[in-house]
Parts: sequence; structure tokens; C-alpha cells
Amino acid sequence: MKALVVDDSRIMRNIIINILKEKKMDGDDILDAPEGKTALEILNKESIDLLFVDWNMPKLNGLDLVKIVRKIEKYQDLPIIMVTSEAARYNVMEAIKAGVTDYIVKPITGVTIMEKIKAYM
Amino acid sequence: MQVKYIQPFVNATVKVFKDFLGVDIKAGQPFLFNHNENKYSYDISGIIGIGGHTLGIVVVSFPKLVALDLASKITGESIKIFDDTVVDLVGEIVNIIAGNAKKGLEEYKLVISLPSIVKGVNHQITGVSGVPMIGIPFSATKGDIYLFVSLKDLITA
Repeated sequence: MKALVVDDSRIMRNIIINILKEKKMDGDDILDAPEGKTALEILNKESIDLLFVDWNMPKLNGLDLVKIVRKIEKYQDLPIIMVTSEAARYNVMEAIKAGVTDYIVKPITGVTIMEKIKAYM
Repeated sequence: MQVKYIQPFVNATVKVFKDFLGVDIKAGQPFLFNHNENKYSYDISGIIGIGGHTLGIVVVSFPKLVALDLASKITGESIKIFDDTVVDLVGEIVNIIAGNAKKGLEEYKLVISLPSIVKGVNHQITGVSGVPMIGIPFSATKGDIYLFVSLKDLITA
């Protein structure tokens, strides 16, 4: 299983990566990117099984990334978990409409992430 | 700017420090900020622009010791200078505060910008022209953190 963590905050990426490692994921199977464009390159090159994506990022934001990813045939059923500070209900609805599978509002805890990813690992 | 716009930001600040950083902070007395009489001391600020059905900024300002202490705490490393980690952390804190505060202001469709960071001893912050800026101090172990909010009156979506 291969996961990709996309967030412009290195601290946030490391928090999620460390949680995945606690779930016994091999560090080599966890990739990360600081924004959407780089993430898209990785998604095209690799075969990703689980995607964590922030919303507000430079170059290509998370919402637009999700819309693009959903148009790629191999990723139509990819579990995409949006991890964002955007807490308003209309944001959640917009993200679901764009194609996210699950939505986590920052600040995150290990417990929240663990609960959410159970179904996808 | 009405006081009711401030409370969601105060609540979000307390929550972010508790849940993200494991630090209990308590809001002090709000004050009307006057940048010409800047008697507050801080060395790094995270700034988020607010758009949508209003115009404004949200700023979180830290004295150097507090920012370094929080960065050391979250990374588990001893951080002694303003490096990329501190900048990253301050940006993420103000981003989460602004994003979480939107939940308390859902009737106004707010849009938040990416954070900007300003560093410098006792740097000056100015809000939206003609709009008051409200400051709220929060006590942390190594000094006071300040939240500043300046929003034009909101228009219901």
C-alpha cells in the first residue's frame, strides 16, 4: 500500500507521516508533496492507494487537485482524505462534491486520523 | 466591527493551542489596538487575509521565546532560531485559527488566504484602513501571544 501526503506545512506532513508509520506503514511507501502540482506529478508516476490532501496550498490547491485526480481513470475509487483547517459546513459540502472520500478538520489528533483511515488500510 | 465577530476567533485560538500544541491558554481583556501607541512586544506574526462577504485580516503574534518554545515542543527538537520550522508553525497556527473560526461565522461566506509571515523585533501591524483592529492577549508560559482581528462589517450571504 502506498500513501501520498500533500500539505504545504512540513510540520503537518510529518504529523500524518508519523501516524501512518505507527500504523506499521513502511516509510518508503509514504510519499509527500508541499502542494498540488508536485502531488499530481507523483500521482501520475506512481500508483497511490491513499491520498491525504490539505485544502489551502500554493500553486494548485487541494480542492482543484481532487477534481483533477477524480478525472484520472486509475484514481476514480482512490480514498481521498481532506485534512484542512476549513471548518465551515459549506466547505465540507464543496469538498465532497469535488470528490473527497473523507474530511478531517485541523487541528488533528492521532486518534482522529487512525479512526478515519481504518476503513482504507 | 461588532464584538460577536471576535468570539469565534477567540474560541478557535484556545482550541488550536489545546488540541494542536497541548497548551492551555486563556484569553485576556480585548482592547482596541492603536498601532501609533504600540506597547506590545512580539517578534513574529502570522497574517491571514479574509475575503468573501467581508474584508479583513487575522493576525497571531508571538514573542520570540514563545514561538521557539512552541516549535521545540511540536517537533521534539531544541529550536533556538527563527528557522523554516518556526515560520511553518506560525503560518499553520494562524491558518487553523482562521479556518476554524469560519465555523462560527457560517452565515457569512468567508474565504481565507494563505498565511504570510512577518518577522522583526516589535514590528508594526496595521489593520484594514478605516476598520478598527481588536487585540486579545493570551497568556502562555513564556510570554503573551496576541490575536488581532480587523474585519469590515459582515454581510449575510
